[in-house]
Amino acid sequence: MPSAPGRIVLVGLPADVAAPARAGLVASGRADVADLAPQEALADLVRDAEEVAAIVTWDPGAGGGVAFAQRVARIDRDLAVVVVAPSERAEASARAVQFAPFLGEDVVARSTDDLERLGMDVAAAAERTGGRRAAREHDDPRPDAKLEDPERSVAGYAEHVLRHAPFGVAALDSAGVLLAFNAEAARMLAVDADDAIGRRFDDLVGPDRRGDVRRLIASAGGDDPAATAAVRCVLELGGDGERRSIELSVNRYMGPGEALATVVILDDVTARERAAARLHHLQAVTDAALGTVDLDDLLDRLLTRIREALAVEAAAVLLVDETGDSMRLRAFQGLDPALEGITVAIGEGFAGRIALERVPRRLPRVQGHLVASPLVAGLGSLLGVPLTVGGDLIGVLDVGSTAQREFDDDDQILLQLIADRVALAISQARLYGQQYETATVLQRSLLPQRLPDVPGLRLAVRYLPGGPDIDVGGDWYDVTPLGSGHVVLSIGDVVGRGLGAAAIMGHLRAGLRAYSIEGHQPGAALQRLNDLVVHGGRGMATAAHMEWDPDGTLRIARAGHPPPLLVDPDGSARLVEEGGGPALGVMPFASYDDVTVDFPPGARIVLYTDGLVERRGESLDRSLDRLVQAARGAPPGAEALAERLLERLLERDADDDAALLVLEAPPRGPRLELDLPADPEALGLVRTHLRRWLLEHGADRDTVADFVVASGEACTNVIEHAYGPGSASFRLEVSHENGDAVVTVRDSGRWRDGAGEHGTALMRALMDDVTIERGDGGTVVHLRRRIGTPDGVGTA
Amino acid sequence: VTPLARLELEGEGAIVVARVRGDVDLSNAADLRRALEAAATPDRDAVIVDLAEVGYLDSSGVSVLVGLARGMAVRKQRMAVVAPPGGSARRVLDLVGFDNLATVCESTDQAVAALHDAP
Repeated sequence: MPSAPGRIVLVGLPADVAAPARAGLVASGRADVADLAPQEALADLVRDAEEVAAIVTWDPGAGGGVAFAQRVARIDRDLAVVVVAPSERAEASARAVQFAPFLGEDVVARSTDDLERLGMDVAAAAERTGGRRAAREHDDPRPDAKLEDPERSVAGYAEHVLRHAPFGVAALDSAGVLLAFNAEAARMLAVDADDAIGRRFDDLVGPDRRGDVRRLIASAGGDDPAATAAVRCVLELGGDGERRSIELSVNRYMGPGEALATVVILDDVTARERAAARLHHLQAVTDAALGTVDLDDLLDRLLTRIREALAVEAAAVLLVDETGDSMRLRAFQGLDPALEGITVAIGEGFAGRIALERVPRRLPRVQGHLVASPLVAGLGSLLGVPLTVGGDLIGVLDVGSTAQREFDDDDQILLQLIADRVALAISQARLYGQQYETATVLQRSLLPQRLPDVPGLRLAVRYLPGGPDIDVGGDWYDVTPLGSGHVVLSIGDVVGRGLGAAAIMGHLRAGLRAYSIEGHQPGAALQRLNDLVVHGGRGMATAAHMEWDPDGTLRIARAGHPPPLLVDPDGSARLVEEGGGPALGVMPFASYDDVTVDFPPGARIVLYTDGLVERRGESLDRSLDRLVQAARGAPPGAEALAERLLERLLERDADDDAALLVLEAPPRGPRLELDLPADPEALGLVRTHLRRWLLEHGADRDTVADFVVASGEACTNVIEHAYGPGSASFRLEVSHENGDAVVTVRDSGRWRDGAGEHGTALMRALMDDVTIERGDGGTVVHLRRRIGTPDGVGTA
Repeated sequence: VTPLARLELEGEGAIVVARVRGDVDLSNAADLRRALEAAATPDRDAVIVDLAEVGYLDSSGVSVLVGLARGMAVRKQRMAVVAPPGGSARRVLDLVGFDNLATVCESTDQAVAALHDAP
């Protein structure tokens, strides 16, 4: 029969452990057994600890049951606690019980291997609890006094640990009077034991923070009687003549009914704060550096600042290479330039070890085999930290001083903080680099690979991407010949940059092209494009769009885009400011007026994006004025005009994209000569040019139509039969001879009669005269018909 | 890359109207041939090929029409072509004597009437 009274409380035991434990306890004469959840058990203890003789708790992993035992100890240190762990965790659990601080007098570890003995063991523990309580009654009749006794509140193992801890610990009573403190706390508070014991803790700090500390201590604990609350504040305490930052954590330990003790933990965070301050200095650099896409430039700037901040001569960044087994020296300062690109195996040498273990390393004295390593040649001391992003190692950042030096915690913390930023910057720069490349590729793929070959029409185009620090822009241009012989040209500028802008640009370019092919005039095409942009919610853009008519006119419309520049054959230049409308995507139901301008042979028109003309701090009017001035008196030709505008307008370090498209109306001459590919697609061009030439030379509509059909037949025969598919070409010549128009089609193949059932018949029916000359060198077809106008009509 | 011409099919039941717009030359004649043959399904009595909006028709286009007319005649289907006088297509059709093969009309209405009147 038990000599000591009290209940046995089982806390959180699994059923297959609780049942044998209960059976064993009953067998040992302990029938008062309760099965409680942890919170219920603690509440019972707080209400009346004396009713409980022993606690049996479950430790699923090392620590869980021990933490509960610590909480029990805060309420009653005499109460025995048995911590049961599953057999595979029993060893770790027993070790935790052995070494954990703040445990009660009697905490034992047991394994599920000993289940048949568990009941007996717990019964024995309950007896021991009774013994301690009896002894306490005898020694000290005041039930709670012992917890206010500093010698007993941090007793035994815990006391030893705390006395030598690298942080300060101070125990206060419920009134905030200092009961005990360790050496580190005394140092931080700049007090000695004789002086301080018995004084209020808040009196020991400076008067300026006294109120804060008092409130802090009072606020710790909260309402939960069994809870430990930690509150933090940073104090600047004047210790040994130097301001130090001390972080206070206040833990209030509650016993039944009232506050029993308060433990204040003091942590000297001066070094950490200093490192943070130095980091702050560097932060501006890294933040600025993040804006750049050039990784080399970024790393170089960072290394310079690191050398300044840590007062070291050498600094290096090594990045894990594609093999994953080694690192390549990516950037360095203060080392032999011949080291560029050197690789270091992960696991070898100073940096290699850091990479392998992913922990910072310090080497106060470079010696032994390391001296031979080229990376540390000439250096006395080293400090290095791993570069990681999201837990992945990307490299190592290390620094070295030529003199021998003890790098301290402060240096290491700072370097690690910098390294975290460097790693982030590197990964961002890499990502950014990829995006930039993707956007550039996308943009290039969306711009015409080459301008369409429109015989007779002269085009010049320039596309100048912005500077290397600038994301790819959304400028586009496009030239599309229509089946009608008309040619549409567009230029535009998507607001924004990067991948998104490039994608929108492709979308708009394709849209505009589609509307033009459908036959919409420039203004109508822009209106539809605006609907597309508005309803698609796809950004904002400006565009200029025009259609060249072979009859010698241009029809132009603009959407918020700078006006095209028209250069007349005489060299005079003006802006075509009519035909405007709002930028695309700005307002629904916008409409865009067309304006038609004469575009006589020799005239040139320039479409451009604002990157060509804009300058910081200059009004657009002024910029456009410079454009007009630059174009005046330009040498003839589309290419020459493009060159001149770039030369006169573009700033060398311009950072915006600029696009430029010049169209020149073909000069009118007495003869038309075209070299064309032997491809059915060329037939449309033949018709366009022939119509224009004949109209210019005074032919009437019916004559033009007949010539177009007859010439088309001659060319069709060439294309169909002279070569077969391939890269062959043929030549079309048109001339005016004695009031007749003469069309000559030459190829180097063989004419085949009857190849086209109706072709030859049509030619003969439509023309006054048809001759076909067959020779070894090829075939020449002459088509002649009177147009009735004197030679030279319409020629320039 | 720009389509020279486009084809619109209209009408259900016995008569289908195939309206061609644009230019017809060697570059698109084969495509037009396939499209028209697909439209002249056996369940159609007749096909009207409307060339009023054609700006250019050459011998390749004529061959397409001739081929279609012959094929339809074999299948006992009828065909009419709309090509207003003065238009480019009409000039060429007249020159090759296309009216020997199929009815050439001034408008689709006239073509529909002609097909109904014919036995």
